[in-house]
Amino acid sequence: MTALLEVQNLHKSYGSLKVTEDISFSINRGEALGVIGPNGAGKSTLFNLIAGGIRPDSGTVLFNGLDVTNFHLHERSIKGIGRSFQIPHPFGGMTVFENLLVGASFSAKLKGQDAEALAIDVLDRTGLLEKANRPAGELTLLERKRLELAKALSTQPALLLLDEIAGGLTEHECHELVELINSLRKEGITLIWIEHIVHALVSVVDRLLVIDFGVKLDEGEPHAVMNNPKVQEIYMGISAE
Amino acid sequence: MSRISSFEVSRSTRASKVALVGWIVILGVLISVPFWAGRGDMRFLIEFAYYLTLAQMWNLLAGYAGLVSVGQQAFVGLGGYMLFAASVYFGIHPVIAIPIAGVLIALISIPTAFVVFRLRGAYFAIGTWVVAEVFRLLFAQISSLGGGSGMSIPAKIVKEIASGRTERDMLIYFTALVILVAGTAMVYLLMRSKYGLALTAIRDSEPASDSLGVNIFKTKLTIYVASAAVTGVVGALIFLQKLRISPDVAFSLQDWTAAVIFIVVIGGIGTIEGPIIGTLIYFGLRSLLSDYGSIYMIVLGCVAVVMMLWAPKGVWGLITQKFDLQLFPVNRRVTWK
Amino acid sequence: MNTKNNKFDMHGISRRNLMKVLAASSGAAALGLSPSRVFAAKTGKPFKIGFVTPASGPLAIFAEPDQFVLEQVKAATRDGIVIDGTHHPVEIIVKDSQSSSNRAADVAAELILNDEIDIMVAANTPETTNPVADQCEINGIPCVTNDTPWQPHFFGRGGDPKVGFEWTYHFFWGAEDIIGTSLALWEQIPTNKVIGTLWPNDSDGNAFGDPKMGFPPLLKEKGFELVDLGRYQSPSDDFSAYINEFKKQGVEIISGVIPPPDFGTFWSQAGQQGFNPMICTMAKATEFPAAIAPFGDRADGLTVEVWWSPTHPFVSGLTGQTSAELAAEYEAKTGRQWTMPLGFKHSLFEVAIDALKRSEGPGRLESIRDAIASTNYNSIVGPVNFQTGPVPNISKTPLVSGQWRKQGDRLELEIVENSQAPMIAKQAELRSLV
Repeated sequence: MTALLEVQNLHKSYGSLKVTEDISFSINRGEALGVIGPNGAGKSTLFNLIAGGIRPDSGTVLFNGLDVTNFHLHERSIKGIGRSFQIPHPFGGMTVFENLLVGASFSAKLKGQDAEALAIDVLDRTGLLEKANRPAGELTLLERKRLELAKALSTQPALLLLDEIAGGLTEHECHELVELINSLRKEGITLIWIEHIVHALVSVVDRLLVIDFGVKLDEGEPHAVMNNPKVQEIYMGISAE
Repeated sequence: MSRISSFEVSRSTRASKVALVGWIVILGVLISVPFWAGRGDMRFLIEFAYYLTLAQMWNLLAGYAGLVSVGQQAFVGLGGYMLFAASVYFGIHPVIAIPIAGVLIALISIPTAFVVFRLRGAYFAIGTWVVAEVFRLLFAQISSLGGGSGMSIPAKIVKEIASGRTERDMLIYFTALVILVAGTAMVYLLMRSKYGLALTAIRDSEPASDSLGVNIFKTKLTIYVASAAVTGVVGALIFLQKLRISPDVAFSLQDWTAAVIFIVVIGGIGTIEGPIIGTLIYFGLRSLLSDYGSIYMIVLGCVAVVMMLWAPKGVWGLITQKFDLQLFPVNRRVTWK
Repeated sequence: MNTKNNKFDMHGISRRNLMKVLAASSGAAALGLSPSRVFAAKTGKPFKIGFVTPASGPLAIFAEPDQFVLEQVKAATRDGIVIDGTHHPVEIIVKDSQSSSNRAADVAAELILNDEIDIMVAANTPETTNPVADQCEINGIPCVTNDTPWQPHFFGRGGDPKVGFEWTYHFFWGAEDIIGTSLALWEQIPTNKVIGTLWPNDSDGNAFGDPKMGFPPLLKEKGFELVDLGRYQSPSDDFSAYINEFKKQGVEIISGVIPPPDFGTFWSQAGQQGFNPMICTMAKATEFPAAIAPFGDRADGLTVEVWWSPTHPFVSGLTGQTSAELAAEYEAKTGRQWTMPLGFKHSLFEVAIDALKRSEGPGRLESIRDAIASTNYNSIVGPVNFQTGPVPNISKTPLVSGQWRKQGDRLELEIVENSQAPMIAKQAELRSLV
């Protein structure tokens, strides 16, 4: 089985500050990978390198066997890499339904009623159907998080990148979200999820990737990784939970 | 799942259906104008039409695409000069030269876009102004088009537009009406299409729209070129009316951009209704005050400042705050059967 | 001028009331003076005169005498114009061009299409006269203009000397006149004959600097050495490059045709940078005492072409005043010093009213046009005759040169050169600036 995504020797620095140093990993179709690391470890940069918001200084990103290292964000989205943002970016001037039409029309490249049907379907799956006609600017935080996920899904991604989507939610809300993501997994979506809330993460993902100071610290089965003393040492906050 | 399969997306509201009838009636009246109104009224309506079209184009750029240009006079001037060049030097019928000017300006606007799109926000605004100034200085050097002195379109060419004065007036009037309706329809249909979706998305969040497959550069370029082309067409019409062109008036910031920004800001930016209301207000103020000389400009400035502080969404914004109204429905509403 | 009302406004009386007053007073006047005329005369449709003038904006200084002239014209036409026994009141509708040719075209069209005027008059630079005349030509409205050198007006509108125009007539001097009087002026005192020029890239600048029709060929012929750095883009706030070059080349004479704000900048910078030519002859900018008064002593001795002055030996056909009397009345009534546009604004209405008197009546546009074409009239600025001009539709008026002299608090313009128009007396000899 060929990897869906293969990241090879990625380097990225801003001036003398190295934010990504020689990171390589791969993820197979249908797999879910969790990414953890302390604040400022370079997780979001890694995400942007994969999704296309940032170009690496060196290294390559292969998606579906295609070198997408120099592709724009929107091109990667069309190819099948969907992402959510850590801070929700709702299109406040549009309705929730229209928010989803954007990805359905431009990334999934569906026309007219097909795009509308996809949008409705995603709304249904993410529990936002009742809010279809509400301006996105009026949503609550949980609804915004759901919309963030829904927008990523509206692109019909083969690979979904989730950036701290559970942050700021109550235990109950977090649980709902985990269920939703697990249901997506069952549909066969491939997932990379950055999260601070490790127990949520561990209940979903197959593998964990730990980065610190831009360097890959460990990668493997979640419990084994969490038991790694080096991980526990630099990641006190998480190991304590 | 049953709900999913039985939804419907509607665009119109009851108010917008009433409004549609209203627009058709207004259009009917406008079509009948040459058969009962005086020449002065027709000229006034032509001027109204070109200011409204310019306002719709600036609103498309700034209100919908977030491209705040203060250099639209570049395309008005180019349109005017192309009309003069085409009719005087190539013997092209002026009314036919108008759409030709639009096509040529669309082509010219593409390299221009590659220059100004490198700049953002205020720098973009200044960049567009600089481009317009460059064109002004350039045309001041072209002596065959009158250089800095300018040139008049020979009376013979204007007289040959149609068989008589009445026919000529009518032809120019209908040309102006077509430009207005086509320009407004273009904005409306664009905003109802997926480009409208993309534009609103880009306005609300560039990174999010980018990650949803929207090609921001291409979308903005399309809007920039379309608005340049229509602005150029309007420019050609304007100078067919003025009969005389010179670089200073062709590329006049005050006449072709400042006044238009005033119209859009007063009326309500980011809506199709706003420019219509703004143009009505602008012409109202002008007919009341223009003979007061510089006081007129001071009043316009004060009105603009007060509106920006008190009602940044313009008069149409105030109206929609009170009533849920859309005369040009672009929003989508999901309903279940 | 007062532009509170777009229609002519006098002593706060609205136009409509004014018309009533005028109509009534004309009847009363007729009653008092000649009873027979009262019974013969009917009051017919008014003659409507459209007047486009740069009342605001950078050219506003040209429009300073408007209000005064309009009141004079109103007074002179109080009894209306009698054609075939019918009295036709005269109505003047004033529109401000805001010094913009865009606006000038618009207000001209408004006057033609909405106010349905019988004759158009306009004055002051190509920015006003050209767009107004263009609108009249295409709409078939008789038009008289002045105060634009005739070449920028005629050729600037694409005029063909073989054909001319059908509806539009213009009287003023031309490039040949200003070249003639300027050259004669500059030869009056010994200089090194090195002349620096400031010609902007506009209608006037391009006409004066034209390598075939402008100053350059004649300057060369007369042995002047020309320092011309090309047409500058007006407005400009930096003339250092010009001043440096003029200093380097030892320029002793400065000439040009530049707007007052540019001259202000240039002359201040020349002073700061120690550039002191012997002669400075600037058309347009130094025509107005108000524009040069701020320079104090440095205004004393500036030279300029003079198209009208109180010493011009002409009499108004409208008021019977001599030039000196007209200027004196203006100064007495307004408290302002006379300026050249006073005579020309006055003459503009003289010629228009003369043509209306010879026409077949209001609305008879062809007859009004033909009356203008056959004008042979002695105005306050000299004879006007459109049959005798260098090209069709143009009549030339005399041009001399003058020098500003400080006399007490005010600057007086004295005629120092009259080779092109000897009927205008010379008052003094040219003095060097240094």
